Amino acid sequence: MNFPLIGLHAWLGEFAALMFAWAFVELLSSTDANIRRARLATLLGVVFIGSAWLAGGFYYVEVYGTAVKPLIKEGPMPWVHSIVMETKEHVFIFLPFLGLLAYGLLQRTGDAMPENPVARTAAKYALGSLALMTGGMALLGFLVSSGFRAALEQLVT
Amino acid sequence: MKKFSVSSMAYGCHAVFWWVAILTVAAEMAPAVKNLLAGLTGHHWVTKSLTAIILFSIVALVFSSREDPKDATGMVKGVIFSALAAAGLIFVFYTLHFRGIV
Repeated sequence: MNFPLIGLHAWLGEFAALMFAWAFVELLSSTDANIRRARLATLLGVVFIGSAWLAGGFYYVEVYGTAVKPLIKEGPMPWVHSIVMETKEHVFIFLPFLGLLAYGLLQRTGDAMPENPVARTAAKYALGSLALMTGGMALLGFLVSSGFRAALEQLVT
Repeated sequence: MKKFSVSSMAYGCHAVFWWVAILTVAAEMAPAVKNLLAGLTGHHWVTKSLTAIILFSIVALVFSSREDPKDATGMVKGVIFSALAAAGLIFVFYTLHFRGIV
């Protein structure tokens, strides 16, 4: 019964992407309320992506290597593990740290943002790239699931 | 988080991205490295994750009092470029590895 764990990993990752996108949109305006909400959304994004790291990591170490990886490698899409999953599992590690940088930017320079649009630009770059990269992880996860499904279909046909 | 300068966290990000990328390639090219990583925690990926946290913490602490830049946009763009380049290195390496070229 491993599906809840990988479902939790996907849910947390997708909500992290949503939180980073929300924070980015808040920074398109510059009132104190926008900055306050951007801080909250970024903090939630960091918590979600950190939790996705734990949930996905536990699944990867305890389940994936023995129950999923061998089937994918024997299936019709072995590149899904050898290229996609190998890339995903390592690039994912970047995201919590990029999230901490974005949150740190908002904490250190957020008070100046309503009067200083330049201060917002750096945070917008960090949050925009985070939203895209975190969303990209969901796409890679879809490819891994597709490779697993294709392997299972091959077994029953 | 207010204790840590923006620069310290940016340096921490650079260090983590390249640490993970280089360690990943090294572990695939040299089985002894992968075995060493696996031996430390039971799984090479767990060791990479834990050492990334430790490395980020050390770099952020060492540079924590460094002054923030007036405009951090260039610094953040540098971090994004670093992330994309390190991710690209990992992706290209595994693609070549899968094709049996490296």
